[in-house]
Amino acid sequence: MTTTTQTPPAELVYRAQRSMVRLLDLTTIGCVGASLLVLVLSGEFPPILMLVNGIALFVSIFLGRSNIVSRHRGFFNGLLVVSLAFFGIRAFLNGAYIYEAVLFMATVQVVKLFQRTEPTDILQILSLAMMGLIVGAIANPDLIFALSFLITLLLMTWALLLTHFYRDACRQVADAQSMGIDPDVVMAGLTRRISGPFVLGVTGLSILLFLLTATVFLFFPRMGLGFLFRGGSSASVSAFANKITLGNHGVIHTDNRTIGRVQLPDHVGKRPPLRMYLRGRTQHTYKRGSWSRTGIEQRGLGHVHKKKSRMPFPPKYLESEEPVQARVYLEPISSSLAVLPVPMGTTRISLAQSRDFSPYARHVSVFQDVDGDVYQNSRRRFRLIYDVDFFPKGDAGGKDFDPDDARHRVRYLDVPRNLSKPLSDLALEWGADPTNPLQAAARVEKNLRGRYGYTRNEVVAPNRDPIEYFLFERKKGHCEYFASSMVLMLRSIGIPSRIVSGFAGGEWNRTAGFFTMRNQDAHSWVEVFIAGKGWVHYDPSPRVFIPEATGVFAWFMRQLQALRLRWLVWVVSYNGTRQRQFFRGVNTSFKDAKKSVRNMGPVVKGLLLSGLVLLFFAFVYWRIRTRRERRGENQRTRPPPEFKIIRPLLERLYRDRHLAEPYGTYLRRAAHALGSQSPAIQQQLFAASYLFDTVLHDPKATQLQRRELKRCLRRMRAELRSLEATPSTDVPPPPPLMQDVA
Amino acid sequence: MSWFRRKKKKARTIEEQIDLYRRLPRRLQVYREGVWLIVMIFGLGIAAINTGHNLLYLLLGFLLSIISLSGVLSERMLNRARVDFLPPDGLHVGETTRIPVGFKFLGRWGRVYSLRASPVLEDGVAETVPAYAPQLVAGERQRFIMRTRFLRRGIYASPRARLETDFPFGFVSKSRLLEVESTYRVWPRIHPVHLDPPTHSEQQYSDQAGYVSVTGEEFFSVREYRSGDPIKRIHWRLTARATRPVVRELELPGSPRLSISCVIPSLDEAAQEDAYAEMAASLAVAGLDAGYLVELETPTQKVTAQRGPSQRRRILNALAEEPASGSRASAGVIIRAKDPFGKPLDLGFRGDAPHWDLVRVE
Repeated sequence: MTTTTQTPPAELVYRAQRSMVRLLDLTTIGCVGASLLVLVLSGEFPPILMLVNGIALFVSIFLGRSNIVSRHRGFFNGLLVVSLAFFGIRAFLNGAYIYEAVLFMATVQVVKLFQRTEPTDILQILSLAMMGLIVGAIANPDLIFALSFLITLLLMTWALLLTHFYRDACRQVADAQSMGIDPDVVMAGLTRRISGPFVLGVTGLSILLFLLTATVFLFFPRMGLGFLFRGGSSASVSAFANKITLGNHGVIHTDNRTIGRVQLPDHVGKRPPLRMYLRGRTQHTYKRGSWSRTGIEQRGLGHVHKKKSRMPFPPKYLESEEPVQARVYLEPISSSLAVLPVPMGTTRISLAQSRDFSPYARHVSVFQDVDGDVYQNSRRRFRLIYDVDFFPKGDAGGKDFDPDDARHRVRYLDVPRNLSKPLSDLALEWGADPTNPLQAAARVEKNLRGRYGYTRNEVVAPNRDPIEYFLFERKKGHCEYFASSMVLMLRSIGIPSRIVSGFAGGEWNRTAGFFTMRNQDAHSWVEVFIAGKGWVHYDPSPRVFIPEATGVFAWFMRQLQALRLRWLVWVVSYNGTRQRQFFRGVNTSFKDAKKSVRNMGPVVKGLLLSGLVLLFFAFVYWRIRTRRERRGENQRTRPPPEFKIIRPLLERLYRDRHLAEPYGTYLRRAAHALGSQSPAIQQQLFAASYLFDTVLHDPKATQLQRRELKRCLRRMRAELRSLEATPSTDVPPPPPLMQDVA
Repeated sequence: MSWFRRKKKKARTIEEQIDLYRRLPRRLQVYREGVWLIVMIFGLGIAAINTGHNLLYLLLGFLLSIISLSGVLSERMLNRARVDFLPPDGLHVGETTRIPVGFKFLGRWGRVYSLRASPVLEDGVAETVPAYAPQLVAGERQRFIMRTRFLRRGIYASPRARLETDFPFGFVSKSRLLEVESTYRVWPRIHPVHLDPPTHSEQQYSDQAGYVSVTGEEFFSVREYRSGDPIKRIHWRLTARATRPVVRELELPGSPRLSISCVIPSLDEAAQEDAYAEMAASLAVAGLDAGYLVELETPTQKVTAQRGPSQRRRILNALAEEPASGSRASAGVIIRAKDPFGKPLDLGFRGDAPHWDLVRVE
């Protein structure tokens, strides 16, 4: 007995169906690319690993059906073992099990991309791509995920379908080989062509899959139990810190990573209605270039009631009557402080939206301190959505300055001894009147804005106070220098003031009516206490704010940003409330329809009812008929619809068809009988009889032939009407019935 | 085959197999990839419910849609497809036979893909590669080939057909039973046996050849009735036409006759039982090929001596049906060869048949 090595089925199938397998390769690579795109753009994973993945993906496009891994099995197995050990140890040390598992998964994907010979390899690659997409959903829920998801949805349908065909063909070949049949014989019957209808069909399948996915997404009961993992990815921000150090500040975040969005639903399609200031944290005491807070962390915190949502220290000196309503979408941020940035002049804050959508926000409470800073009590990082009412032209809120309170004096009037004299001199030189705080603040703000330059470049002043160095030597700096200088100058002449950090400006998007706040929008400004007006906001920084993007691509970018917000609102933060609203909407429309039916007149009602009844009977008739046709009963018991066209005429002119007489035969006999009257009709009847035979008995009869028969019979009908009835006596007897024979 | 793992199943009878479908009209077999998908769905579902993360819900919806769409499409295919089998008159044990299977999709529109059809047979009776229809157009009847190799002789009636599909994504194989009957006559295996042709009648039986009487066996001619001719030999139709009695004239056979007697013992191993039938069949086929009139006698059946393809079919059918009932002592294949007048003949055997020891020449 001789042993022969059989060619692997996958190889044989590839040879026979090259185009199909290549298309499968491309769609698989597309799926991997889509998932990799989300992971790379999330910025959460080591760039080197992502780069290796990208290169592997690129190279694998040209490698085709490579089996490098099979040929160098030892090396690749070793690589996987080493990487498993490496990521395992890292996970053990840093406790980030899921993160390290994802990194290991990315390594496995690189290896798998170089081995795509069997259908299982393809399925494994697709599974890894799907897992990548799952990780991407957590790491990068931005609009790019939507794009990747759509690409995956489209390509995955193709890839899965083609893998199924590929595997089916492999199975047939393998079975044939196991029975000793020549696989080429089997392959001949399996050849598939990627034709137009097939492409249309698969695209239709993708659309169907999309619709089903959307339906499941909309209707799946929303819950978040929060019993396992916590939090997600986060961005670090520069606006909230426990301490601000001038001169040696460290990194100022100038990147354009989005921190949050503030939507003003009443201003969609309009110009920016105001300059947005998102208030973060207040600082009190300046010492050797650093600002810090003076012990009010626990004391003076007021709890915001979950339902009433009113701030404990709201603004009191309001200029306008109607508040502006806004919804803030705050991205997960990594900050040691759980500060909630709110628009200046906020009077009400509600986290109802967040509580409905995130399991972690359910137990979050909101507090406000005496400075008007707002906090939440959770240190977990997750997306928060909250609704606020604010008065942009009012005071900043918080407790009023009490000159008799020693703590207030320390917080809002303290100036370092060495700076007191030069700063007060400068303030007086600029014409600030210590007895008129409104005038003094305006003067100092005007002078700082006009005489000093704005730069983000940090210069460390050797052995000098950074404010002194800024005011008297360098004369340029960033917002914190300006705000600090103004606060200290006003304090030096006895006017209570404080420095506040947060976000200002942002990019206004009129398409969806929202501000996008980015890391680069972090800002510091000043709040000055003026009796009868409360804590009034001043911004001495000469920084230029560009409210709306301009340029060639501005419109496009605006649409993109609006789309991003819609994605955020309708998908990322789709919650139980929206779901309930949807069901309520459906319910309401049903009720409305009911009402309108009730209000209809009796005639319309009757018409509607009879229409419905008719529709129902038509449906029942159609069902019965299609079922009978499927069983073949129709042909036996009922005459075909085409026959009805000439039946009454033939009955009159010739005779009725016998029950067991075939239609074709009946027509041919009629042709013989009527031939003496009209040879033309005889010819037509013969033609019709053969068409009848084809249509009734040939399973391959086309719709075209059926139509042709109808046309022929209709033509004949007109001519038959002109004939006279001549029932002939020499009509051949009809064939006997089956029961007669029995 | 690394990509396709088959579990060794417990052998089931036809009734047991049909009974499985009685409980649920569709049967699902989840492939390994399907199991992964289900695990992924569970994992993702738990993650989504835990975190309330909407994008996880979206992906969960995607995976659930894949499953539900797969179910709907495969159901459409199984529900509206019909099959019928066209097995040959007989097929031999151990021989891979191509059996045409007709497929028809009753749907009004569209196409169906990847359908497999096979008859429901007892496990272990045959190895079958189901007929595979890569694509069916609505309303059209198409024919595909099923390949079967039976492992034992006999007559196998399959009351139902199994229709199966993995379409569209290949995670799950879904099957149903259809009321389609098909019968397979499985003849014994034929071994290469050579039998010397009988010496020609003209040389050996020149004086007796062509002896004609009304009591012979093969039709020769007709002649007028003579007194003493048997009444049952009257050719009535010709008598009516000729208006005088006419009888059929028959001649004695001019060919030698090979009688095969086969007793199949009841043994532990089926293959050993079949060896007796195989030898008898091989000898009968060799005899017919060599020009003998072959007759077969078994404890339950008797096939009278004739020649030609019909006789071959009759003998093979008889051997396919013959039960194993004898004892080991009485078992065996006995062959006798005689000339047309009953005189014993010597037989010359050659060939590679493996069971010569079962054959006895008398």
